[in-house]
Parts: sequence; C-alpha cells; structure tokens
Amino acid sequence: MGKKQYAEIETDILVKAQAGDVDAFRIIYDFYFERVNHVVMRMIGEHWRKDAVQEVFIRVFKSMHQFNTQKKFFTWLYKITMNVCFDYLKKNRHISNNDTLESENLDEIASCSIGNQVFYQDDELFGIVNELMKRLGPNQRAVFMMRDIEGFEISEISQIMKCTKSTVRAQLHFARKAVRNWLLEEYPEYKR
Amino acid sequence: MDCNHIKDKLYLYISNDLPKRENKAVQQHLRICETCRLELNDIRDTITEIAALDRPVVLDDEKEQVWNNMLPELNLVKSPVKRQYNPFLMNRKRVPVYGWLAVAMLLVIIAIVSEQGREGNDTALQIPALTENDVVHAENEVTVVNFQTSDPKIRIVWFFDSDFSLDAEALKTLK
Repeated sequence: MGKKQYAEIETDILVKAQAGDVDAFRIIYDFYFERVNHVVMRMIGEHWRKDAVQEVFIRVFKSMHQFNTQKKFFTWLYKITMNVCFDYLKKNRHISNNDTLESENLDEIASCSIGNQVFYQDDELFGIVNELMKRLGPNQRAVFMMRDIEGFEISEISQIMKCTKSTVRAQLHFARKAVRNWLLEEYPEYKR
Repeated sequence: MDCNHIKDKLYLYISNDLPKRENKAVQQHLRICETCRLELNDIRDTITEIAALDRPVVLDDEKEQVWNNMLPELNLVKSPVKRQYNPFLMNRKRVPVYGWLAVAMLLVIIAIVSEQGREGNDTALQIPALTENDVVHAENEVTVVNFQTSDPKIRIVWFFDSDFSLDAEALKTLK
C-alpha cells in the first residue's frame, strides 16, 4: 500500500496568510480546495458539503496564527476539516446515516453531477464504495479515509483524532474488514 | 495462531500497521500457508483498489462560488498580524484561572497593607520642636526634657546626664 505523496504549499505563502494576506490565503485555498472538498464529501455527503468546506476555510483563516510553520500544513488543515465534519455530523445526526446519496440508486451515484457536468470521473465502484463507507460509523469512516485514501500514518491519525494508536488500529481493522465484506456480499461481481 | 486468526490480522498486515510481534507471527505463518497468502493478496487488492479511486473533479465556478461566499467574512477577520505565530508567546504556559485569582488576592493584600502603613504614618506622634524652655535641670545631676506630643494622652520625658550638652542645636537633633 503505497503512501500517496502530495506537494506541500510553500512556507512563504503560509507566513503571508498568517499575517492576514487574503491573496496569499487564496493561493492556499486553490491549492487545497479539492482535497478538502473530497474529505468533506466522503465524511458528510453532498447535502452540507459546500457549507462545511466554506466553514473549514474560514476556520483555517481565522486560526492561521496558531499554525506552526515548522509542521505539516495539510495535517493541521485536515484536523480542522475533521473537526468541522464531526461538528456537522453532531449537529445533523441524520445526515450520517440518511444522506441523500443513500436514497439514490448506484447508477445515479456513479454519475453524480453538478449542473450538466460530471462530478466524479470514476466508475460505478466509486459510488458503491461511497455507499458502503456511509454504513461505517463516523470514526471508522474517518480512519479508513485517512489511512487508505489520504495515506496518513497511524501516529498522524491518532493525533488528528485525539485517540490512541491502538484505537486507530482497531477502527481501521473494523472498517477495512466491513467494507470488503459488504463489497463481496452485495456486489460479488467485484470478487476476484 | 490458526488461519482464521491470521486472516483477521491481514487487514492491518497489508499496510504494516500490526504491532511488531504480531507482524512477525503473521509473516511466519504466511511462509507456510498458501490459503492465507491468497487471502492476503485479495484483501490487499481490494483495499488498494478502493484507495486508488479518483478524486472528485470540482468545477472552477463552484470553487469561485464558495470563495465569493466566504470572502466578506474573511475580510471581517481582524488582521492576525498582532497575533502572528510567535514561538515565545506560543510556548508560554497558560496560567490557570486560580493562578490569576491568587495574583489578584496578593495584589489586594499588598494594597491593604500599604494603605494601613500610610494611615499609620499619618497618625504617628508629632513631636513638637523643642526649645531650651523644655529642658529642666533637675537635681541629682540629671537633666530632664519634658514635653507634650501631638497625642494629648502621651507626654515624653527624657532623662540625660547633666553633663550632656543640650543646647539649641542638640535639641533639634533629638527628634
């Protein structure tokens, strides 16, 4: 399982944004928008996605001064993103289990679109996995996403989630097993 | 460990997330068990496939829309310049509430004590300027200085040897 490598934004830009430079913050926004959007989409679904993404970046800008430029920016940004997602899940408990995606059929999920343009490039599997992930609890979903999709280390996840490494391992184990079992049971055509 | 036990461990083994000891046990088992090796490959492929899914492609106009929505709020944020990251400020330990209370109490006590001290000074006995008239040359070779202080209840009497010079200058220094 190769860890995904992502470029990090330049420190100069972070320092400028810390000083309240909105233009510099725009660069950060452009740089991370898709990743944040993706995380939020996975965590809370489509319904509150835009609002949550907006809140993430507002919180980030407001607390930029707290960021230590010696550390990884994305890990810090991810922490805020997760906090916002969990806040949304708490405030709107129903969206974790009854997101609009679940009520749609898989063909629709696979070609989820905004306006007349395709939102996801991927095939049906993406929709199915998305569907399956929604059955996981928020913590397991978050751990699964961070480890398998974003490539964070267990130690980083434990910091972001504020829990022990053993807890992260247990949740990751449960999530991987559950997603795979659901996939094989309900969509056997994906069985190798 | 039997195969079922090992298979359960494979979900973390695929990404080296097992504790060292368990990792070694699984490794040893995989060397001799073909079934578990197949299971390992299957789990790894499934999880890798899920992880490799493409990211959503977001339209630029949506990105602009979200930015424009939050821009007014960003502009409202007070310039964080003054609160910019400062290793000295950021690393300082926060004084808990009871710490501040203790400091406040201390300040109050100091204020009260100093106030009392000031009052004490205000009521200190005022000794009038002594003159030679206050000096009484008594018998037995003793000189007496006898005078009334600012407090009517207190009268001071000093006794000196008669050979002690009590001229006007010396009387001034008696204070």
